[in-house]
Amino acid sequence: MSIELQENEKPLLAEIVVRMNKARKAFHEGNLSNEVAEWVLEAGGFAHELHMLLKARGHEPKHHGYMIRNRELQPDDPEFYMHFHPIEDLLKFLADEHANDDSVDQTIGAEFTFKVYSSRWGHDDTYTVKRTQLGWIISNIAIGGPCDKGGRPFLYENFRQDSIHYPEGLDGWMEWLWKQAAEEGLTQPQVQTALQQLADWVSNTEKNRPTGGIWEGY
Amino acid sequence: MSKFAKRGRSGSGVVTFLDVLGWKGVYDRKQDAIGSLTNLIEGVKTRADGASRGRIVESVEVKSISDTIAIFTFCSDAETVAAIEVHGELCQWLIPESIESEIPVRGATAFGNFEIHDSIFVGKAIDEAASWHEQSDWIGVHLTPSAEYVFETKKSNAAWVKFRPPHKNRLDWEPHCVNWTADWTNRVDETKQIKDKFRRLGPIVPEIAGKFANTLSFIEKMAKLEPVAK
Repeated sequence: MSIELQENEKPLLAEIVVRMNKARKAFHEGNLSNEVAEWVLEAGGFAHELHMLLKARGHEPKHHGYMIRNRELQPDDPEFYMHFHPIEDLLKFLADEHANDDSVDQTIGAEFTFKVYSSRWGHDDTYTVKRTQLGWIISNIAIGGPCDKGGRPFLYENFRQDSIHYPEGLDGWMEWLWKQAAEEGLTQPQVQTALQQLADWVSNTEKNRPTGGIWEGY
Repeated sequence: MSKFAKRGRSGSGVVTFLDVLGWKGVYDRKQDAIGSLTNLIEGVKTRADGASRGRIVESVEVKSISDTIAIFTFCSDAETVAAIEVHGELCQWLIPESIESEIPVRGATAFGNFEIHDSIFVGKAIDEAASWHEQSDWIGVHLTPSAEYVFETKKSNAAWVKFRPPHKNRLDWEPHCVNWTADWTNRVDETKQIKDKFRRLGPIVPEIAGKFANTLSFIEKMAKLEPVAK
């Protein structure tokens, strides 16, 4: 949802937009001259003024965590907007108040289940999977411990222990899921669903291995 | 100051070249090596904006040819240190990630003039990064002389730290190197995981063993740099 500006705020936005459009065009042409830097500084001054007005009425513009880190300043510091990018992000915020929201890693320390079929025992086994900073902690009856993001070594040691056949490259999928959880801020149910999809893939591989006939006794 | 040339982009800036150790033979050693390398390249691209926006006006460009990853940032004189820091921060992610993906990288970061047109690069900074990046005998990234001469940092948590990188031609100099262990919270566990990865990258023949040993020496040195264990 966009932020509705009040009458005293609209002229500030107009001043910012004029200068930013000129600066953007200049940058696109590879022009980093002092004149262009001056346009950005002027726009930054107006941006700070607009920021403070919005803050005063409870609509302080949000910025990405990385932007605050990179600027090494808080957004209400007059110097914060003395750069092209934070001004660009202010304009994005005005168009959509969630434009600068960051995704948060929500599942470090969360526990999941990984229910997989074992032909050896003729039933599903449920492993416990906990997501950690370095990967996963995977445990089942006797075998378990800290694993890397690919689930190595204990996920596969459990499979070997029970002669469970699993798809080649499963470690890559586990790793991908771990990273998506971190970068996209996946929720606990989203990670649980994805993990069970992988477990179902293992179960299908296990259930569909050739049996009977010449395979008897293999 | 950068400008558009008739063909491509030219100006001064920072260039990092990295290549995968043991790419030759990777086809037999590792399944889907191309997928792993693509993930690394995409990962750097994804992180580039977060590392650079608000510090450098120009965007960071990431390109690749076979197993070489090239990172370019045009910058003004005032932005040079920030651009080198950004390249260091991207390599802080890239190096451990490359080990995790079993395609470890080494590289070098240079500063100077260069020109890019699609996947053709030319210039002093390119020549320097290209000639240095395959010379080091470890998993890691260091500054070349052109970048070292312009770089200074007062940050206590800087991506770059002084270290003597192991070189094939036994150079006696101590440039800044990427401290890719800076955010390790449990150095014992992290080091164990690195050693586990090295084991999986085997067979550890003598020429590889040297690179691993040099990398582990770097990790040990970085631990000593931190007065308080995290």
